[in-house]
Amino acid sequence: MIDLDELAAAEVRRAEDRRPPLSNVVARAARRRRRRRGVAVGVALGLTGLIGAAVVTGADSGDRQEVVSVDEVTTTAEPTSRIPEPIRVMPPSVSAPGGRWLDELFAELAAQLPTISEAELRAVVDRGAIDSRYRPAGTVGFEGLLLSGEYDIDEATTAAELLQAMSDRFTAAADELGYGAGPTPLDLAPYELVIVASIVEAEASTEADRPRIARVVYNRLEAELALGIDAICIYGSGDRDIELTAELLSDYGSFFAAGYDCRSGVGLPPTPIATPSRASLAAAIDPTPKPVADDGSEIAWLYYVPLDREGNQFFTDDLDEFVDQRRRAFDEGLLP
Amino acid sequence: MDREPVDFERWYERHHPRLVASVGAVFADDELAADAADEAIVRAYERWDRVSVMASPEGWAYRVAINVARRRLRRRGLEHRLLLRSRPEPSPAPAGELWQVVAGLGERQRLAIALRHVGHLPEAEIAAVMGITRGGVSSTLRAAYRNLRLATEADRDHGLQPAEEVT
Repeated sequence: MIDLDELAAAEVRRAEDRRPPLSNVVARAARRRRRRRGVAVGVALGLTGLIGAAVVTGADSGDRQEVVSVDEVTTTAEPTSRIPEPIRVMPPSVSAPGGRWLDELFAELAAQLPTISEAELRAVVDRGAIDSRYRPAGTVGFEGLLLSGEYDIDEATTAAELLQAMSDRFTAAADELGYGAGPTPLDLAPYELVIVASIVEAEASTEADRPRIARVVYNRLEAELALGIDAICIYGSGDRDIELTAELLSDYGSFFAAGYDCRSGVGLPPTPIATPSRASLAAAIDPTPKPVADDGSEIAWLYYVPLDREGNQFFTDDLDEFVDQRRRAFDEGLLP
Repeated sequence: MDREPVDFERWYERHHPRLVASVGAVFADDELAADAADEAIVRAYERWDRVSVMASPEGWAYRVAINVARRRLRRRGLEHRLLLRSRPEPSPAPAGELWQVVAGLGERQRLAIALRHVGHLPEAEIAAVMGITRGGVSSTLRAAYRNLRLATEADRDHGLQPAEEVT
């Protein structure tokens, strides 16, 4: 008789015998990602070992597309022995794109920096080596409190210096926009405004839509409706590639961190969900005013849905209109 | 947080072999299994603030590992078509006996078997990992056992309930 549990246990023991130390797993993943971000391109062009490869590395850091990686074609085994790391030179500045999760941001920064690793950047935050006036006591992590943009660096710049500069620029922008004092939409606390800014950053594709999306967030908070924004659930799932199926969402507790339930949870998520830009910080504190209808009443948009291929959204307070446009967006391939 | 902090390294040591064994049993490729398990572990490590407070960090890791493996397979097929214009080399089957037993099953049944017998996940979590209903898990497992001619003892040993719905 076949005993599946026994066979499975044997299989697990076999895997235990081959289990590498955790540090190897982490280091290997970092190498794999760095390679995928550009070295493979250098290899394909025959540039390995040339300083020219440094220019290629990080050139595509602005997008998250997976580059077809030569090392995975030539060998599926650990390829370090076959493909040498290229020589990389320190660029004069690094680009910190908006909308990224903190760990994604670290990966993209490290890919541009020959001397600073993802692990070092993470360690700076973990040991509390940088600070922000906008981080309430007891907050876990530093998500949302570094500003996107271009940062000047030189050979001597350390991981802590770079991240502190990003935090300082965030603080300066927030101060200048009035986060520190004065009235705020719905009387929200500064950190809550940052959370809204991060949602705007994750959702808006055009500059004009940023303050409009902020308006929808405030309207839904005011109406005590769930925000219904997938980017929040995706953040809570910790998995960019997740498909938010009805089955998965119906069992929200299993695979999502508490507080990021975008479909039935009311209120803001507990932390920002992305690295914001200055434009999103501005939109969060200065949202589009509610439009006024012909009869003088205010229109409270509650929905938005893709309108065109330029990334503009269609805003409405009317569920039927929303459903119609949503169907159109599906038909035109604007929604997956 | 009113939860015991989980020591990541201990969590890794416990679950990495199970992830490798599960993915290996589904896709019959030891290297791919190790790769996918590594990627799931590293993502969990980087996002531990969120993953550690989920009801099932393990279930999360299985889902990510399985998805990573599927994507790698798709990409591998694509690369071979684009660059080499040939069929991908068949990978050597894992040495373990488990694969030899489940090799005749479809991917979905192999996955259900792996999650139940290697991962020891409860039915609700298997459902969430596979993106199907709990009834769907029962019927998938029952069909797998039937195919393996294990129906009677499996139903008795694993206390399977009649399917609530068939997907």
